[in-house]
Amino acid sequence: MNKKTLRDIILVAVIVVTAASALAVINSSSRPGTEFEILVGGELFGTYRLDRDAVITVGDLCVAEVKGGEVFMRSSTCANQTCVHHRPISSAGDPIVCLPNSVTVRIKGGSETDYVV
Amino acid sequence: MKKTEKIAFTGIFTALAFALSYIEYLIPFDAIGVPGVKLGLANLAVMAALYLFGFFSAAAVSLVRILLSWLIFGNFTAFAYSLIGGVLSLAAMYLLKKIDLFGEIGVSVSGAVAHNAGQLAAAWLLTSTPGVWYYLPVLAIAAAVTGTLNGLLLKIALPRVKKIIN
Amino acid sequence: MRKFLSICLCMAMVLPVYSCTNPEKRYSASYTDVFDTVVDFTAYCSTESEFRTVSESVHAELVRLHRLFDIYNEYPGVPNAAYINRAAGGTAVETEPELTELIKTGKSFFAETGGRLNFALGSLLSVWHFYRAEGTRVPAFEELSESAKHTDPDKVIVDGNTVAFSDPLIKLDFGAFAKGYAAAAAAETAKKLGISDFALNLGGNVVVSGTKNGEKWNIGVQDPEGGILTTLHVSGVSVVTSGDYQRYYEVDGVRYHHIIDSETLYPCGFYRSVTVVCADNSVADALSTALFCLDIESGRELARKYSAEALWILPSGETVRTGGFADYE
Repeated sequence: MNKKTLRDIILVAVIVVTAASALAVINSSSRPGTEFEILVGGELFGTYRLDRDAVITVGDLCVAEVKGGEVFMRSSTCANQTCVHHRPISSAGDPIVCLPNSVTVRIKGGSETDYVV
Repeated sequence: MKKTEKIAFTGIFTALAFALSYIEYLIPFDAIGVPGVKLGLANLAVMAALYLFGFFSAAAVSLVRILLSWLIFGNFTAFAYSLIGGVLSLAAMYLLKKIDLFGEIGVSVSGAVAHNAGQLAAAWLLTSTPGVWYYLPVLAIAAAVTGTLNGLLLKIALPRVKKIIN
Repeated sequence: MRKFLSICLCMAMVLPVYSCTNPEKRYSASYTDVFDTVVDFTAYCSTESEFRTVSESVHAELVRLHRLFDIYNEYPGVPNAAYINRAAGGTAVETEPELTELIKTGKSFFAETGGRLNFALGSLLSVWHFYRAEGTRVPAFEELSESAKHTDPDKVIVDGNTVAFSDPLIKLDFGAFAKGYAAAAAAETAKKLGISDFALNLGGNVVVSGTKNGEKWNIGVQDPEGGILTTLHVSGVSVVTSGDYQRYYEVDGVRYHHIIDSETLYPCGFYRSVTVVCADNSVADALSTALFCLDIESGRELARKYSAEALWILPSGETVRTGGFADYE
């Protein structure tokens, strides 16, 4: 193998490694608008991604589910079940709130928005 | 090689580039899911022209081929993207060949990466969507792969083509 | 000894003013136990303990007002709205000055809005509240018009600290501007404790003060179909939105929301939402409710009267703004 070919291999390797690591960094930090928070009694219970289907059990209060880029309340121990009837949310508009259990599920707005009226 | 010979061969290679790009169009690569990933077969002809006949010949092959594609298939946005990609690709390949440190594979890969970067830049300028740059890493890896393949092919074919021409 | 103690007390009272004088880090707190909604409070303070002190005071003030304006529950020792509703029919009852002030404000709103904003609409609103909670039926017109006979604000008589109903079936309901009043009061509490850079969201009633490190606060206006329609960059104002998607129930595919037109006795259908920006939160709250059931021209005039700006979102998705609203966007 001559010098030129060796340099070729190094060049390709550098490109691939750089691109792969950039890809890893991008995938590990998701963009705003694709994350949501669950709060219990005003305290942050957890932050989750909208692009990963999941079922989240919030203590013994209620169960939230992420499916197809939306999050909704699958079940709750509350009496009025308003939170369960709420339509699935996928944007930083109204949150899903379970007042009796004091649980709030809300999409994080772009790093810009403070509150939504 | 006489000038007229060069011009004649340039014409042939242009037609070759056009034919290669059409063949590539027939092979569906969309399954990858990322826009802009392609084999870049036409680049083989451009590179061969670069190595055999020099910069101006390669430039002619590349630009005339892109123009032809537009005239015949009529897609302006595709033309704009191809043009920017083609120009950057040519510049990168010429530079890398000139410094004479890399082989055909290196030249081919740099051409492919430059081509994809150029297309992303075109998309960014024309649609004002900064989000397009998220695709750069994926396209860079794809360019590395297809560029290596094309480079290998060129490496093998070049000596034989030289013999035929001379 | 007394002098010494009183001097100490004075100094202790002055101390809180000096907290949060170096606004630096951003802290947030949420409460879900007042006004049947979520309250978010964000402030810039130098330490977490300072923030906790302030947010607890804000919360305490909100709890106090929540109890005072509550028309469904009575609390021992608190002559609140529920108490007045129960007892003022037979005789004049004594209550807190804040409530008599609120009633007077209500009478003023009633006059200024041509009757659209009525703090004495409780009789009609409680019918709708009952059916909304039950969730499967729509009240009959007879029931609504019967209740509407007992909604004349002139029958609520205020004398000093006492309130009397000359119509025993009349009921107070401050829902149209109670949250606004509470948000404004809570903001005052925060300011009195020395913080000037904060934002409070009382279930859609927003008060912003100061800035976040030099930048104005970003308040998103909800698009009734989902997402954010526009973002307002504001400081030192109140933003309130009334929408048909906030509290409602559906029967046979028709939505019945919580803003009732005192003329038709049914929920108003002119707009999907109305957003009002103005200096005082109770005014913004009252206006957003009043404008919801008014035509645009009358709404513009009313907004002008109170130096407020408004944004209407029509069912078609079309938007209408008052002249100065775009300055906030």
